[in-house]
Amino acid sequence: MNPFVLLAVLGGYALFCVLMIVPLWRVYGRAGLTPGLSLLFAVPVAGPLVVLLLLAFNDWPAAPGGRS
Amino acid sequence: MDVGLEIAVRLLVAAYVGVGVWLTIIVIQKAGFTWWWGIAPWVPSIFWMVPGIEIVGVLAAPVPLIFAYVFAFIAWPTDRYGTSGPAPHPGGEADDMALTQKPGAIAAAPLRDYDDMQPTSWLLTGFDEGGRVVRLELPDEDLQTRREGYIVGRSPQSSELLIADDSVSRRHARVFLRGGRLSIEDLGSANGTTVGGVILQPHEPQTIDKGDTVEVGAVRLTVSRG
Repeated sequence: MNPFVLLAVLGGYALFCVLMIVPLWRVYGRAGLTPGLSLLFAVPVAGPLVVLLLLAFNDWPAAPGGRS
Repeated sequence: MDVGLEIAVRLLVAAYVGVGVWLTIIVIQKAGFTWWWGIAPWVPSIFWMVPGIEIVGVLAAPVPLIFAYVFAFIAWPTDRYGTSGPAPHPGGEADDMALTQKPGAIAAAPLRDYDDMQPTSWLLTGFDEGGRVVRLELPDEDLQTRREGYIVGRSPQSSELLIADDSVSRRHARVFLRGGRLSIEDLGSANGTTVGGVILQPHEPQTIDKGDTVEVGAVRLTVSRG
């Protein structure tokens, strides 16, 4: 693959990850979970699902009563 | 691309999107939204899977990003709680105070023999900027049954625990039990909430205990049992 194309693809992916991690960071914070876990989004393929999995099946300490 | 391989790839993508939709729906529901909002961020991926209309998926590519920002920064239904409370407070003991608990917000603890007297409530007490007494009483029983806790604020319409002070927002903070411990969460108030002098980030609860000092706007309260 043309190195410039590869660079563009990687750069685009990195930019997309950064743009997605910002709101995910806030969502994790609002849920009462460690916001740093949102960085897992950057893991190719599995990352987005892992981030959702942690949000879906962890208790949200910030939710009323400590869980949701 | 080989037809068999293309079908396999589309099936894999479909499985991935299916799991993603399922997980997103769970997350959306935990935040208090209707389940079908969970499909929205996956709409482009769904279009990508359908031969011939992939272009629609490409055009809709920003949807997940927009959805993520909207979801992260709008108020969640779980942030808003109704003002209907338990049984009416029969005592009206705080009538002469600048701060009063909203009538009907919290039931009074039943009278008991002094020999049997044990603390049954959390108290947040102090003075407002005008030097008037502020006293918030949160009976354990009510906190345990009302998992969403109580809104502290200046507005009788949207708060159960009222503080009549201009430095307090209409819906300022929420007090609730979290894992059996009393916690307070700032609701994005104008003048903020502090615990022990540390400013709370909006919507990030902080555990409080006996002896802690909580500042709601300019109103300084001390946490105790009573």
